[in-house]
Amino acid sequence: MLTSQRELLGLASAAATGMGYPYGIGDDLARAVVWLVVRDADGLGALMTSTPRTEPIAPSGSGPVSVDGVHVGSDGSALLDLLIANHRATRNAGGERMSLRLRLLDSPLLLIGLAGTAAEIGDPALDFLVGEGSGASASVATSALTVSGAADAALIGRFDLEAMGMAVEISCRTGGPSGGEAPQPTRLIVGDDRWTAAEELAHRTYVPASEHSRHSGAGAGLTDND
Amino acid sequence: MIEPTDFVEDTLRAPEVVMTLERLGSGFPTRLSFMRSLMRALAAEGAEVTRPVWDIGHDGFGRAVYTVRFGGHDYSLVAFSTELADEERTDRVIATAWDSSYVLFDGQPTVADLDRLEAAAPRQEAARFEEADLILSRANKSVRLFDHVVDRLAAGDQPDEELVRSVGYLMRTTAVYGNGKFGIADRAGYRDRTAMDHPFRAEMLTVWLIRGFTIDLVEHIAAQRSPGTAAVLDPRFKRFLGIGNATGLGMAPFLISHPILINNWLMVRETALARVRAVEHASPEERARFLALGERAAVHLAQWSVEDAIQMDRIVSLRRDWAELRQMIDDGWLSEPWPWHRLLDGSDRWGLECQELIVAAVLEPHGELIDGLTGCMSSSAEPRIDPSATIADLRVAIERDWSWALGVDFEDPHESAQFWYVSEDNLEPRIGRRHEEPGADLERPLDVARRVAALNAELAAEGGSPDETVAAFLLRRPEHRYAIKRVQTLAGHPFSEIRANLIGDDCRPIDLLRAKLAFFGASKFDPKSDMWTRVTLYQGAPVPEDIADGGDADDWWLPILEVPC
Repeated sequence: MLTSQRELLGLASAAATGMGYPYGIGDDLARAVVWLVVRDADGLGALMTSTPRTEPIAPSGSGPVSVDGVHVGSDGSALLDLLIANHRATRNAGGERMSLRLRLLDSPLLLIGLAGTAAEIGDPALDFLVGEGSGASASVATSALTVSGAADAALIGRFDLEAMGMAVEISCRTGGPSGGEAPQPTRLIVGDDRWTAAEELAHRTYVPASEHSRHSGAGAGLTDND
Repeated sequence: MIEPTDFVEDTLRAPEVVMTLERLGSGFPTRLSFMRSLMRALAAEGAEVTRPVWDIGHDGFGRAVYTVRFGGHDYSLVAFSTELADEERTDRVIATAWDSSYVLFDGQPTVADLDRLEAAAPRQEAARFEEADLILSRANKSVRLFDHVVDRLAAGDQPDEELVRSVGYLMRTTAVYGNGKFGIADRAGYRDRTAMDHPFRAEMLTVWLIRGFTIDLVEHIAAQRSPGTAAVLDPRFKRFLGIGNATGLGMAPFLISHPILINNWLMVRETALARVRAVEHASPEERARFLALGERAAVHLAQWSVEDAIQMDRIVSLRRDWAELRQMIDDGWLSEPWPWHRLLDGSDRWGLECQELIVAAVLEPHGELIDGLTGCMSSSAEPRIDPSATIADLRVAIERDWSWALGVDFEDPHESAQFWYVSEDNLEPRIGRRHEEPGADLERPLDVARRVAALNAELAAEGGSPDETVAAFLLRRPEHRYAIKRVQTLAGHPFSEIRANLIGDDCRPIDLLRAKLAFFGASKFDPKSDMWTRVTLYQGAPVPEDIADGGDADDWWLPILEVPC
């Protein structure tokens, strides 16, 4: 499927809502999906791998915050928020780089997408290191995503996500290497199967048709021949 | 002593005044409206519209291409006119066929492009489009006026003046899609072009070109029917005829989902108003212009009649208020210091429609002072969370900015009577009755006031540390992310939020539609219910010949059909 960024954004947002994510979170996830697809990663797959959390998250640990069992769709934006807030506070106090230790992530790739969108809009610009020390890591800069550590990991599609999902450390810093211009493809390619699955999820957000709704829901008649 | 700078900086109307739904729903087009600024931009370039393809049969069906060079790029309207059975003619999203369909093409299309679009454009949402396709649209005939005009021209006559005046257009657009829909180009791909850096610029250009096509089409059919004897439309009619638009609920969510953009629209208009207030002495030309437009507005109001009882009552009141205003104001009154400030300051003696008409009217004589502001109306910024803010910050912002929402009792069924949804029936946006219909579990997030009230209640109930960061709170309560974004966005963008309970029984969605359409530059609001309206776009606007001739492209605020000399 050839699509536009905006069309993918709308579909991903509706799919996220169809999966059960609240509005507000769904918007963030949709942006993460587009960020990944722009970089040739399987953004919709990352979204659909995630599962909404049903119980509140419980961070633990002194020093670096640790979270076990991360539902990236539900928790990812807030975890990155926490990282950024801590980073700002630490930077202002002249301290060192903050990090989060996450274990058992349901969709590490989605976390990278969320970090990518956070890097884009950070003020000042932020860079994230995902998976540092785990044998496979991703550097998510303002404009670029680079992967290292895993064998032949030039492409995110080959990234060792399974290993990374077991345990990952994520940290951020201000104004790292920009990685050059952000890619701005005008056409995106999404697999037909992914597209169809996302449409099915989005369909869950539509109210079933009925004659009553058809006649009264739009405030207009059925023909306009005047 | 009043200093003009006081007005510029300190007398922007307060957001709690400007952003009520009732006032937004009383808006009028201004010289800052998107259609007006487009006409000025085209005229500044002396843009010429050509018609490289006209492959329309004697019955009026076929395809045509109009090309205009604008801002260094060619843009082509590709138009398809197709036969449509009466029973299929509906302006709603549930439609599957239309009298005409259109694509604004980036550049000049080849024959292969035209063939591709001929297969796709008439299918609209059911088809897929490409990167060179910037805008997708369709339009249906005003059956009574279209056929009448063809018949009269074919008979060598002009159409009935009263019918032209009362209908005002030959076709109605029923959707104008941009920004990536169905595979068309993302706006991000062309928004930085000189000519396209204003909101909805490509959409507005498309609709203006469609208007030209509808006029060519009636003349063509008449000429085919009566070769050599058919008349062409009187230029007076050509100029007066606009393009209709039928608008339903699909337009409303945009105003909620683009708060920063909406803030910019309102901020620009209110800044323009403040600048005009700060004019201590109106020049003779400005005074004469205002008085002349006051007279034109009176005629326009007299020519604006609708079937909707609520709107007709408002029009009648407006006519009365406007007559009173004109009685009060003459050149001497305007010659006294601070004329516009005095007029605006005393306008609350009249109804909201009159107050907002005054706003639009006082902007008119001051193009040099305010037109440059239109360059500030765009924004691609999205609302963001400030994770470092504290709960105390959040609560201060809610208390300061959201009292209008916190005062609503959402436990009262009256205050949550409606819900907004998308039907699986062609994905048509609709409104339901929450306590009577199924589907409320799938409602769209237009219940901003309720969500912020719920957030506020949650913060109060938790009684947590005021120093806790928003980030930490969101980790526990991610469902409040949407509401927190709204609160933080409004704190930095005072005109970003419509201050109304959009799910209450008293909410009239039509006010949302009018608010947006007025910024487009629409006039003659003609509600068909409180969820649906027809309007006229480009009525009185220059036709392509006027633009190419370098004539006045800007004198069409509140158009009237002039009586022939």
